[in-house]
This record gives sequence, structure tokens and C-alpha cells, in this order.
Amino acid sequence: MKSQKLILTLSWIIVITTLLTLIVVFNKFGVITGRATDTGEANLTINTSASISFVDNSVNWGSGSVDETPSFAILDTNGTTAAGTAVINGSWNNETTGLMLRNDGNVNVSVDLVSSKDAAAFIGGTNPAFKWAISNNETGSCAAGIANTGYTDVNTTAPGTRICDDLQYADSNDELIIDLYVRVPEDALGTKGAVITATGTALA
Amino acid sequence: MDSEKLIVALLLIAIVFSVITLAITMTTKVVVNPKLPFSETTNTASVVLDIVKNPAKETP
Repeated sequence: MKSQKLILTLSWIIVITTLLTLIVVFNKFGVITGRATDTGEANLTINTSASISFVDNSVNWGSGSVDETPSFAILDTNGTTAAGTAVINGSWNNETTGLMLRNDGNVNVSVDLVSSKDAAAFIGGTNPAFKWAISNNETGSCAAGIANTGYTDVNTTAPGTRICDDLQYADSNDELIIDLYVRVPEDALGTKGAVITATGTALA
Repeated sequence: MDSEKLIVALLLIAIVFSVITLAITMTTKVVVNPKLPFSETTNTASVVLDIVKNPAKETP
């Protein structure tokens, strides 16, 4: 009779365990019984889209020459040079706005910047310079990790320089400014061009 | 009801519960959404200027 009681106890335990399992499964898969219901489902998927674009995609100083003295000219889109102009010691057009980069996707991105040419390849001559400086065009556009905020030599090695770890996508704060600084020596001549490529990578 | 019949009844109930649980888990589709693919975008801008000789500098 003792073993019979043990079997009975075990049977109760089995019943309770299976009942609890059933309840858990009902809850997990949303199966509801005991009332008559019907449900419909509306499904949609919103895909994330990483997209950045240069809203202002060109800096063109036009044609010009270095003044008689000194031996070089400075072209600076920041326009905050000592002389209060974007071109010093030269006759090029004043370009007072740098490149403007916007996150026009629906996900925050990190941004890398690379140039097709360094100063020597771009300008040539004796002691040229080609630099960029990054800033927010709207407060908080780059929420984290903004880099090269002061003029820094451009990077020509892929994937480039990580200029922002977290560029926001909301319209109110999704733009960066890339100012450019060029030092033109008097012995540089010809038509010069460089391409700057920005790469945005979606953040998880 | 003697205990033997009660044991049989309880085991039958347990079997029924197990079968129902099995049926639910076998017929319910579990969809696992794959992680979104790595997303990358690029855009380019140009920087140009033309450098001409200053005639004043040609004067010896």
C-alpha cells in the first residue's frame, strides 16, 4: 500500500506539471480558449535605410593666382582667417561655405571621410597644404565622436577618417559641415581637382 | 474511487495535457526575423581650382 501511495503522489505531480506546461504554452503562443474570438493581424515592415548625401557637394574656387608677395596663398572655406576673408594673398573666388553632408536616411550612421588626393597630389609645388575641419551644421548632429574639429591633413587611405561615430537622422539635426583649407605655393600651376568621399554605415 | 482507478485517471489526464501541448507547439509557426543586412552608403563631393601664373611674378 505504501508504494501505491507513492505512485498516486507521483501521478498528481505529473498531472500538475503537464497542466502548468500547457498553461505556459497557451500564454507563449497566445492561444486563448474558453471564449469565442477571432483575430486579424496587420503586419508591416519598416526597413532601415542608410543614406547620406552632400547637400553642398562642390567647392570651386575658380581661376586665380598667388599675389606677388608672399610666396603662397591661403584658401579657407571657414572664412575666419585673420584677414576676415576666405582667400588670402590670392585672386580666387571667395568660397565661404564648406561641403555640407546630410544624413537623409532613417537610421543613425557613422561617417568616414576619404580624399582622392593629398596636398602634394592635389596642389603640388613647394610646401602645399590640403586640410579639412568638421563641425555640426545643426546642434547635436553628431551625437558622439566628432573628430578633426580643427584643420587636419586630409586622409587618402581607405576607409578614411572616422569623422563622426553617430550622425543623427532627424531633420532638425542631421548635417555636418566639412570646411576646407588649401595652401597654394607660387610654383604650383594648372587645373586642380580632388574628390572627397563620405561613407555612412548604419548603426545597429 | 479506489486509488488504482484514480492513478489511471490521473495518468490519462496527464497524457491528454501532454498531447495538447505537443499539438500546439507542433502547429505554431515561430518566425525568426533575420538581422537586417549591413547597410552602407557613400556620396562624393569635388574640390576644384585653377592656378595661373601671376604676371607680376614673371618680372625679373
